[in-house]
Amino acid sequence: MQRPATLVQLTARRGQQPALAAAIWQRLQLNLPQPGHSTSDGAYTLIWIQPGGWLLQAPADIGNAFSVQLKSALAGIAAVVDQSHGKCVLQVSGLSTLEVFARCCRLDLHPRVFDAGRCAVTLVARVSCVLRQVDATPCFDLIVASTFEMWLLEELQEASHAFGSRFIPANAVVGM
Amino acid sequence: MLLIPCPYCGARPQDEFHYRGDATVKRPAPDAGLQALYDFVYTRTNPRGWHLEWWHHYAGCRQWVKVERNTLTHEIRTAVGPAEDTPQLSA
Ligand SMILES: [Zn+2]
Repeated sequence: MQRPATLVQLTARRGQQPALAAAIWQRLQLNLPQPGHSTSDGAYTLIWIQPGGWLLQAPADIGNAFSVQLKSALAGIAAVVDQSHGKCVLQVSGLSTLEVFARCCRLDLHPRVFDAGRCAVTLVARVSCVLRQVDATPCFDLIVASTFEMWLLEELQEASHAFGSRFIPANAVVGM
Repeated sequence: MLLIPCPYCGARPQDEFHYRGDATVKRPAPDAGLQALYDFVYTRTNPRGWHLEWWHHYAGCRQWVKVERNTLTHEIRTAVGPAEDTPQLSA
């Protein structure tokens, strides 16, 4: 399923991580997650992507003004880069999700070691992705560069061939 | 396939990394002469045993990681961040 979203990358300036955590808490009431984890209130999600770096996933309709405001609010604290134009979100869910990922991702996503809220930057079908488990259904978000989206979609459909799959585009009227 | 324990991401497959060479070579002083610079760029030992090397976790946290790997057995003993103390190399 295609999930339109606003995606903003936050990279803390040297020594400014506590200030960034405080500013984010003030604006969004979210904690900066630890490595390999994400925090979410349903609408806004913070995803750890690297030391001192997070990806903020926000509703698609808040638009450009959000990252512009964030940029001025975090001046001197963090680099703010709006990635919405270059990345998109594919959501994968269903009973056989883990079997599908077992065919195209090397990470161990078994509930024993990976559960809701966990995230990882890794390769899925040889493409660099941010992978986040949304809930225990299981449901995963894959954040991928827009230019690789069709490739990843086709690989996921191929990997789910034995189980059956259905793709829901963001604008379902247009269809596939 | 190596399983490299990235200090930031945890154990990850080798294909998320690029090998970036010997982590022990130091850039010579500017006046050290042409031979020293040539050696810095091109001359490498080919050790049999423990070797300290750079791996770039390009498909993960994008950090450079210093890995101590046995070139004979492929065993990996330590993996630390670039600024962290290098473990003492032992034969
Ligand atoms: Zn890493």
